[in-house]
Amino acid sequence: MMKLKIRLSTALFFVLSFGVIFSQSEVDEAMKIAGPAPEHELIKKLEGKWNVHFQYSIGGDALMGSKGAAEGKMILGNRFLSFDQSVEFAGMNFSSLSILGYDRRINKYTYYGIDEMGTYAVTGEGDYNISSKILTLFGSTLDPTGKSSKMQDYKFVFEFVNDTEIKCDVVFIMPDKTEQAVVKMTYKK
Amino acid sequence: MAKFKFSESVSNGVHKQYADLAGEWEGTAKTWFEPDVIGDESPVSGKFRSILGGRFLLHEYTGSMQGKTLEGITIYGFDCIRGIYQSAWIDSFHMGTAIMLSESKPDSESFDVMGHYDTNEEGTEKWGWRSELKIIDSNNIVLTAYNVTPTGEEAKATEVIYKRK
Repeated sequence: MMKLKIRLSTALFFVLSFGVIFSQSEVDEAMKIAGPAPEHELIKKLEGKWNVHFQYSIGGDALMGSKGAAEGKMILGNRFLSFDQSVEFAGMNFSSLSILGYDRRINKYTYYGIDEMGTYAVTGEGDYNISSKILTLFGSTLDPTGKSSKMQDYKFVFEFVNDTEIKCDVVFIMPDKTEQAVVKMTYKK
Repeated sequence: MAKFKFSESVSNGVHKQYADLAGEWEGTAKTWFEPDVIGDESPVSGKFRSILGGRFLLHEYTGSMQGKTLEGITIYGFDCIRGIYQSAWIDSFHMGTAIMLSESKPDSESFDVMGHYDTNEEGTEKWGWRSELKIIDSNNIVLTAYNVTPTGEEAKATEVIYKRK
């Protein structure tokens, strides 16, 4: 029964697709587990309209600043947050779309992001530290410049300062484990 | 070095094909819970939007499953650096709270991507989820997905036959 319940905790469709007959109560439980968890309240904090202070690395520790706007909306029955952002970047408008979630199968926060800097997506997954109020999502992508086949490790670090201020750093993790913040964003309502 | 240039892809390549799908669509969605037995057949409607300067295609849809409303979003991409198709799929029914990330083999000539999901059952390998987008003509497309067992056996799972509104 435990195994069955674990299996039921995966997406409902997949449960049904295995060709196994489940009772109505088991299907009901699967549907419940397929819905949002208390952890989704964290990503809900990004809902609404935000002013963005955007800083990006111009080499070394130097950062160039700009501003922009963002809006977060909970979607698909509060399972995900869709986050649209537009900032000035190197004199041009630069838009991005991020999807934040909490995957109840693996008990991790998840991230999917695309933007106008490339034709590929970046992803991440990680945990929230309730005492530091920091959500850290780790990922890896092919060298963003396309000039090598090396992978670039990175992390998104969200600090939920209070209800009206959230910070997000994009940090590259180098092969020697040193870290370099390439983008720093502060969201204020 | 990038395999494809975005500027060329958006004018006459994959990104152009994506952009051409923009608009409103309607059709029928079929779902199989076991091979060769249709578990559900119901109307579906959706909208494709080219986003982020034509780099991605966003598909938002609404349908139903056994009488209950469902909605979902798929983002289609084509990574010009690696020359592969990619997608991300989330919805209010099939995927629960997970994001299905899929990508094609290098040099695939059409949208044919594979993602994987964990059954969370101890000792069980991941299952595959293969998705195809077939463009019949400018007003007709077919979206098909297959469940793939760890040993590679495929069974059709969903099929959406869309006509442009």
